[in-house]
Amino acid sequence: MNIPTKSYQIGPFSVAVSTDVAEIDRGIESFYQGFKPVNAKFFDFHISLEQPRGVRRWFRPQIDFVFDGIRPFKPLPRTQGLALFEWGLNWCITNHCHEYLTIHAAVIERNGFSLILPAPPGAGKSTLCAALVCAGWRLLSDELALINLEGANCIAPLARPVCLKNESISIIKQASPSSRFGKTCTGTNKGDVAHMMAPASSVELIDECAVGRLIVFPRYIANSKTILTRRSKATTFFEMARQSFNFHVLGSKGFEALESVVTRSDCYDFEYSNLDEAIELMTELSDQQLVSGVSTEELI
Amino acid sequence: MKEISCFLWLLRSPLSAVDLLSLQQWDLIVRQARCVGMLGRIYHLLDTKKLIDRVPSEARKHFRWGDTVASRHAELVRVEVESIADLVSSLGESITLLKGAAYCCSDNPAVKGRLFTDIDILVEKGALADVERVLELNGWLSTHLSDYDQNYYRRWMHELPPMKHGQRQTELDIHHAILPETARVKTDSKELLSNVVAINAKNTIFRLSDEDMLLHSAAHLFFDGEFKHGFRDLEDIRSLLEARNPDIFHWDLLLDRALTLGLSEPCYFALYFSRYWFEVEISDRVLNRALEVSSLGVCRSAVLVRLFSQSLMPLHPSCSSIRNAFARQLLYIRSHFLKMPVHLLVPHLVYKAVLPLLEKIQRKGKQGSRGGMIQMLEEDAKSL
Repeated sequence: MNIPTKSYQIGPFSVAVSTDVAEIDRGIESFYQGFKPVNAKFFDFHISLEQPRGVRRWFRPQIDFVFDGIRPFKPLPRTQGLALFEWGLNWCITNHCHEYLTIHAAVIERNGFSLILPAPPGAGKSTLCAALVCAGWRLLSDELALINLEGANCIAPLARPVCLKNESISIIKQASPSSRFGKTCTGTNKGDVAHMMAPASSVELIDECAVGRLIVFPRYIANSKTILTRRSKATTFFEMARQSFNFHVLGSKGFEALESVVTRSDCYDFEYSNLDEAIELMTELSDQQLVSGVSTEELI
Repeated sequence: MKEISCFLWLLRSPLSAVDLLSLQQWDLIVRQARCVGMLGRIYHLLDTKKLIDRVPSEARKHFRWGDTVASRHAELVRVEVESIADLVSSLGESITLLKGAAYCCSDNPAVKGRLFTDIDILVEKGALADVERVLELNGWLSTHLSDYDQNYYRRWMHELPPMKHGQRQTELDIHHAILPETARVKTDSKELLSNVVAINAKNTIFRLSDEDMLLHSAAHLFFDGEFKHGFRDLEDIRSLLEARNPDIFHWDLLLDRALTLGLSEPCYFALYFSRYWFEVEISDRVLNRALEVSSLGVCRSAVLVRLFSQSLMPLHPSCSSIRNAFARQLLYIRSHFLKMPVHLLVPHLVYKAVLPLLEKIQRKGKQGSRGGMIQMLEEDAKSL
């Protein structure tokens, strides 16, 4: 079996990918269009997506995620291969990389300041993130906030596709017809999943870190008004530590990194249902950051 | 052997290897080291020799990440061990740490940066029930809850059913011997416990003597049928040998001690592989005498050396093929015969073979969550 290996430099990580399924190969290529190939012969993660041997190759075909010989997950239906690749790559990063404090959050940037959206699954983080990206914000990451450990309050971009679920897919497609989407994977354990590719402008700036300034915990509630309320830094700190993958591994370094971001950020809870209003408010918040001395509190 | 030559070269002679390895070779070393849980170990090895800055940054960061995990792990183990020792000392007893926990808490530089999965302690058999009770009262819970497993451990094994802390999930094995009660080889725990070395000022935590620690490590590796971390365990042995104190260490004393404890056979293999894989200076005379006292015989030792050299390879696709898997399978079967006489082993294996079927029938209808670590990780990853 001769599978060609492709490589991508995805933010700080060099990834080698091979697959014997042409469709998945094309899908990954379209996800990471504009990402540089890796020139050196060293890869942080060697990944392959392989068809299992035996009947499940043909009968209700499946696909395996293989990380350097290890199969950390059960196989999924072959049609979910792209989603499996994205989830698998998240697993590789969160389980091996301790260069950063890694937090389950979306990160986007405008005016040089980043907005962190930490939230449990289903809170509407990815939808808000995608909507803001379509409104011109730069995408750093939809899933993983990589906070630099040197205490410099600096967040490293990944610019990987935004993973949207169920109704969010059509909402974003309608709101922004020019956005590029991968094929929808139906029937995953999260329902339908589709990935919105990062805009070329975000991919171009993949080496540029962003400074954390705003932390907003979004919550989509059907028919709710757009409500922004201030949140204490202490509870923000605790919630972010809870959403972190390696806070417990990093010890005091992780504590200091998180502290440097939280102390320098304005923190809010945010309920929304109307995306246009949400975009407007977030944009206003970010503009406010440019005007020194003006507290964002006045917006509420 | 070819595919692992770079990894061995780096471990054997880091000073010359570190500048000559190509980036592609580093790539393979990182992958093999990750597979056997030695990333942090390599960081430590190169760091103490002031070589870590000469490693290409691409590879260095992986070793550093491994070190981050290992250091944190060691910190937590130390806290955990102290709390266990405090509980046990309230009974007027002490604990003797085995394997990973012993290396970690005695600050043995030979084996720093190493990861291990559980804490192993040795206590006197007479104190077993009290120790178990005091731990249970303080949050440690028994695992393997079926009557069969509980009985199996308590009646035949050298340890209690593994315990787990209810909140912190740390795993703890409480041994009263280093080999099962039913094993062909018997090692007298009294003999081991009479030579222990204190590692804290309060005299509540001990470790085995240098020789015994080495021999236990060898017994574990060469009697046991698990080779997932075999390469790492072998490297432990070579590190312990390299760190020997020449003033008091004597090869013949080691061999005599092995004979007393009934561990001459694993001792021979430990010396053999340390010499031929890691170039530890062990003379022909010592090796020959080790073979002689082991009563292995030339033929049997040659076959086993072959099987071990296949099995000790890291379980990485670059250096493990179907042949290695076959050798591991044979040694796995051998380990069971060493562990138990046939009249006990056969019913046990039959029971274990039929059990999954029985459980499957039982579980039908009621959804039990018996998720292992990997399933948990899987769910974690999917919840992203």
